[in-house]
Amino acid sequence: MKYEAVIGLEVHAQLATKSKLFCPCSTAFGAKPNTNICPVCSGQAGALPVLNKMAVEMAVKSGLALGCTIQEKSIFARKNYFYPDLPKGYQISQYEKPLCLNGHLDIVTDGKLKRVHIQRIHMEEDAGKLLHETGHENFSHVDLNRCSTPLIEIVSGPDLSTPQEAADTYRKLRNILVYLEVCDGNMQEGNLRCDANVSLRPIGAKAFGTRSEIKNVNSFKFLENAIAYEIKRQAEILDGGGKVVQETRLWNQAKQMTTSMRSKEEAHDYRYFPDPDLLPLVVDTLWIEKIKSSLPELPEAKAERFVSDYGLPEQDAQVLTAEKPMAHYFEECIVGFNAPKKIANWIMAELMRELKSRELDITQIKMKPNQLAHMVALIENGTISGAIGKTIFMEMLNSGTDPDKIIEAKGLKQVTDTSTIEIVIDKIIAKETENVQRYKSGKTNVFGFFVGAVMKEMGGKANPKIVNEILRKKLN
Amino acid sequence: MKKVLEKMIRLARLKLPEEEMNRLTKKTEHVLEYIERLKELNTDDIEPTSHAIEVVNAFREDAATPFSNPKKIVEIAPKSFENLFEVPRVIDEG
Amino acid sequence: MKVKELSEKLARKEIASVEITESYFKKIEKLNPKLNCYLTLCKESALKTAKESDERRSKGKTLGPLDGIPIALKDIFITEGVKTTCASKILENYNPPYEGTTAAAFKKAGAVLLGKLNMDEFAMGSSNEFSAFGPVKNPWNLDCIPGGSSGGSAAAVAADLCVAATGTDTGGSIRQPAALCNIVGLKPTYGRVTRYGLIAFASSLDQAGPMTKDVTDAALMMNVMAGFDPMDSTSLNVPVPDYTASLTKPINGLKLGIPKEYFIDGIDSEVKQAIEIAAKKYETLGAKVETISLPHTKYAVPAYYIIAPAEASANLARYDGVRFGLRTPKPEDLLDLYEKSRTFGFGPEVTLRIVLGTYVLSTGYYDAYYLKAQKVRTLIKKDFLEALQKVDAILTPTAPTPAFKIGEKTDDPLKMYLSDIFTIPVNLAGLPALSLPCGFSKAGLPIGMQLIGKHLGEEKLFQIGFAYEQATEWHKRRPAL
Repeated sequence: MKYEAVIGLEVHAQLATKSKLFCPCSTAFGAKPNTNICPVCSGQAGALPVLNKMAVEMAVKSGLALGCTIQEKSIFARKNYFYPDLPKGYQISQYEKPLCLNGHLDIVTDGKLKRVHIQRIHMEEDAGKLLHETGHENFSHVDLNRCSTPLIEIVSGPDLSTPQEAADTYRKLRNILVYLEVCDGNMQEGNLRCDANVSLRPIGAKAFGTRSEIKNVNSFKFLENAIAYEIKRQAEILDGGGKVVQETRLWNQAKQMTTSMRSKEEAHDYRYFPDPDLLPLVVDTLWIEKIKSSLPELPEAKAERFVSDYGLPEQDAQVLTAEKPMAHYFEECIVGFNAPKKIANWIMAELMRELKSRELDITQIKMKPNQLAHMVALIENGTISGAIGKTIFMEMLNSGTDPDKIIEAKGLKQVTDTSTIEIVIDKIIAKETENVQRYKSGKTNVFGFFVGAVMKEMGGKANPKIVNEILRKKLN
Repeated sequence: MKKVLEKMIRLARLKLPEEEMNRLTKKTEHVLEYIERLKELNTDDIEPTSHAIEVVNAFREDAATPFSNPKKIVEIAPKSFENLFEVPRVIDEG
Repeated sequence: MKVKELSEKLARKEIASVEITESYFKKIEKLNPKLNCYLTLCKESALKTAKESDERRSKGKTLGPLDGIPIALKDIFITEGVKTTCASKILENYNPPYEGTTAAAFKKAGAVLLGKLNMDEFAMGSSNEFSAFGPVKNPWNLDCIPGGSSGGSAAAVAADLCVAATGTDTGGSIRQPAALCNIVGLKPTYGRVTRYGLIAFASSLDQAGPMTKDVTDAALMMNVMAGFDPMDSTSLNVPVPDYTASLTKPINGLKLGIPKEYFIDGIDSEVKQAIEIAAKKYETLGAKVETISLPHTKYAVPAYYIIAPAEASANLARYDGVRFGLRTPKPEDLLDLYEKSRTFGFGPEVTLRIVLGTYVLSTGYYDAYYLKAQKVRTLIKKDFLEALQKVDAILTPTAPTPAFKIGEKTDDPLKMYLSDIFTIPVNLAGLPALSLPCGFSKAGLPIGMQLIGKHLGEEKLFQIGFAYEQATEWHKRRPAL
């Protein structure tokens, strides 16, 4: 049978606050175990939570950016369950009354625009970390540094139908959150995590099939792989006349498969109820307006501006604005040398290719925007050739050295002195008698061969325009 | 009732011997029977009260201030290892 | 000795704090084995604090009326460096890594902490029989209960084993033992006194307050305890008056309401009579007394026994044997660690309430129980707010009977729960209420009356209570031990 997949995402983003959601402990990553803890986040008897105002503002920002309605009154509830990484025996999380409802996100997959419904965004505290690799067979260990750091959970509608759409949604969400500076988007450190709900139904059917929830997908690629695997797995079960079990499954990247989590079959009953230690959260219109006015330019608006202000093609603008640091890099380059399309080409072709192959982020490279801008300027004013530009580009990327210094150190300055070029051309014409004959007999396509030979001889430093001119004159 | 309460006992991470379970069931039934009188009241249009006083919005500003003695929090733990809290090995759930 | 009295003596240098502190420890050594009020004594640190207080005084730098005064805290108040057990095996060796706000406030005021007082485990009980460390005896009759859950505090104040004490009140735990031991107890408005450093029972109902020998002392203690605490989200950010300032204001013309619903089923005739006499007294003092109605009164106890256990079931989840407190020695696995530590650590009443609370919150029961109870809470609150528009305070008995015999009600939770029938509605509404002595039974047991005020109306309660106290002698009686 033919099936269609129904996919929804639940994205947890750690808010980029300095302190935790309910206590003043630092949220800094990488501290020694149990050093960023206090009576509140370690669940001591008699300790009480107090809400971090900045976390609320960041959550509201996210809601506004995703077109949600910010709820005037939201409530923190207790989600009750026992686990060693949960000191209080309950997680404080918004449940019945979340902060944001009914937003949307537009994605473009294979050129097709799709509006993805954002059902809700709610605030909650993170759990601590349970460690198993501490060298003890019989014990696990608990580090509470991460415990109670602020999270938002963004829940999409079951609107996605392919792994690619899911990955595009996740990517777009990440970009927006990073744009807003409410989340650093770091998936390795777990600051952004994604769970996917996947089910199948016969094409055309209205009712949803039984879904499984896939956890532990911490990259866009993994998300795509995991969902693709899950669709295949469920289809095989259904084709074989079986039933999909509603369960949580883990993505195993090494084995390229999802596996069922061995949770005890006692059904969870979280017994949510309003946390009496926290007051209702009221966000009034005035506050919302204030937050709204502080929202930065978002990717879509930025892309439009790149088209109108810089005259970039739509496609270029999309690519350059997808990630905030890249858009920022581009604009910094423009400050250095106002040739938007030329710079866009360098970034989109050379720079992005290198970043991809080196698995680097734009923020991690040594080459500064003004250096790239200066190099493009040097090509434009004829100081260097495009080919030399590429050499310099690689050098700048590797070492962060200024282009002028590279040119000087390596003697890469373009040769524009016609007499020097002429000597080389004469030498080559004298050597390549056969090819000269060919050219004269009308096979003008060997012209390129002569240009290449001259450039090679001159280490690529000759001004191609002058080479062309002199060659043409001599050969004709 | 006893069956339901056995589930509650498990949810609450308690475990009672048979005899105590029976006693607990009897007591709980007794209390619940009394609580049933709330059903006499029609509360359809009544808003629930979860806080005694109607106040909203208590915040702290986002400033990181380290607690004076995080070490002591681990020291008072019944079992710890290299500044980590120790529990019997958990079969990984994620 | 009372706070005011001792404070004056210290000021006149008739006595030193060290001297009085030592004499209290002597008395405690003699009487505590009989009464079992104290769970922990802080002799060494108390004498040190007392000495520091005396030194300050000799330099003319006293910190205020509480400086050098020996007090004691219910063992539910977190004290850094002094173990805090909540009268539970699960916290038997809990040495808190931080200082609670109230303990810090008393320290700052220069008060001398004698020790930590016995109570019902996790404040769940009305007789102090549910302490994991043995029951407290009523100083007026050692066969009787002192009330609960702040039974240790009430007995210690009544027997003068401390000058004053603190208690906590979730459904009557300050007022009922105060009434049963012939002392004064105030449950402040919810949010008036911080809960940071108060081991939680039912967070939306818990409130700490003073337990003292008279109204003046309660006011002096409130001057230290009350106030906004940024560490407690539910703490009220409202200025604190000097509670002693309003004490002597006349009460003529003030209106007191007596709710008719409080004089039905199960009330002891001697208690009823004592309240009637007290009402008459008020009339002679110039107050007007009228009958009022709080129609939803009978639904308060059932609503409370949904809300309080529900909150408690979550509040007590943190006692899991992992980070602090009791941990079973050789757990087979994580589940075993949880189950054994908790089952062994909690007493039967706490277990019962956890189970009740888990039940009323669980899927399928939430609406019928928890949500329903919250709606009933709205109705009860409304009853009070409407009544308090017509009267300045509400006068009721504090407890339906004087102290009962030890063991009399331990097997029947309902009978026990009903001893808080007049105090529970007040917690549901978050109102302040003062209990003060108003008579004795023929058997020689104290009877207390309760004055319920408007939100943040503590001053008015003190004023009304003080006027009565000035006109009567009940509060001056002391048990013969």
